[in-house]
Amino acid sequence: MNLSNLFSKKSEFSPKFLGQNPDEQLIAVTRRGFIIELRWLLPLVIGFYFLILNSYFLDSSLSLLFNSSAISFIRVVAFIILSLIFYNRITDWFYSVNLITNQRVIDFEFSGLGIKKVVETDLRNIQSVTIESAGLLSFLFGLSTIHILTSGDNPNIDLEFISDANRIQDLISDLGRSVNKNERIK
Amino acid sequence: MNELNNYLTIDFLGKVLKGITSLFTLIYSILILKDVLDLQTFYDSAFNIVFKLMGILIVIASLFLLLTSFN
Repeated sequence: MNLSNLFSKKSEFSPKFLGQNPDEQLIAVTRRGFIIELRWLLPLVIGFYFLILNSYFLDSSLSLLFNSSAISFIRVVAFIILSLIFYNRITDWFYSVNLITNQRVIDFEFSGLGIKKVVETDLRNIQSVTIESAGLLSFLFGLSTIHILTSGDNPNIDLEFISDANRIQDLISDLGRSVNKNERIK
Repeated sequence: MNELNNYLTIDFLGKVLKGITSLFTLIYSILILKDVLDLQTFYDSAFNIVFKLMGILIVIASLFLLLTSFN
């Protein structure tokens, strides 16, 4: 192994995602609106509040059963476990991205420990792109779901709770049209 | 003598319980760090290093908890 490679710059083609082709350009990256993540973030914040800022409630209930050393141990364990849940959830949200390239649409979906789902479809297989907005959260925060319908046995893709759905829908439709046009010319 | 025995037994059980809890926390944190490192192979982002450091910090905290739980 040549040690100088460790400090050298990345090669000319450095992929941004797994399975990227050399001539494939990443055009847009979207992910779920962060407001949706409040479902798990709010209970965690309440947990951290009672653990750190308002420990009287926890201490008074635990002091009936445990001594002070055990209580501090329980608090540290609870803090680490809450941090782990936060870490796991925030990384799942961050890496669950929808990638739109000049060749295909890819949906990476991660939820929980070891649960991974990757769906991709070629732009030339896209039949229609539909926006659906339903529910109070979608109405209040302008989040929509984009349904990408594909031809034949290709899997359909749903991009859920996207904040700039109209722009993404337009982008995918335009890319699909231009790819099909280029195919016809060839 | 009997009271001393009871105290030592409770003390020992407390340490075992602490050890098991800390070990569980350490294993859970390592598994989550491994999961995040797997996710990073799917999508390369500028935040990768931040999430790596966060995970390593939590693993170190869990390891520290395990080492101190026997005191």
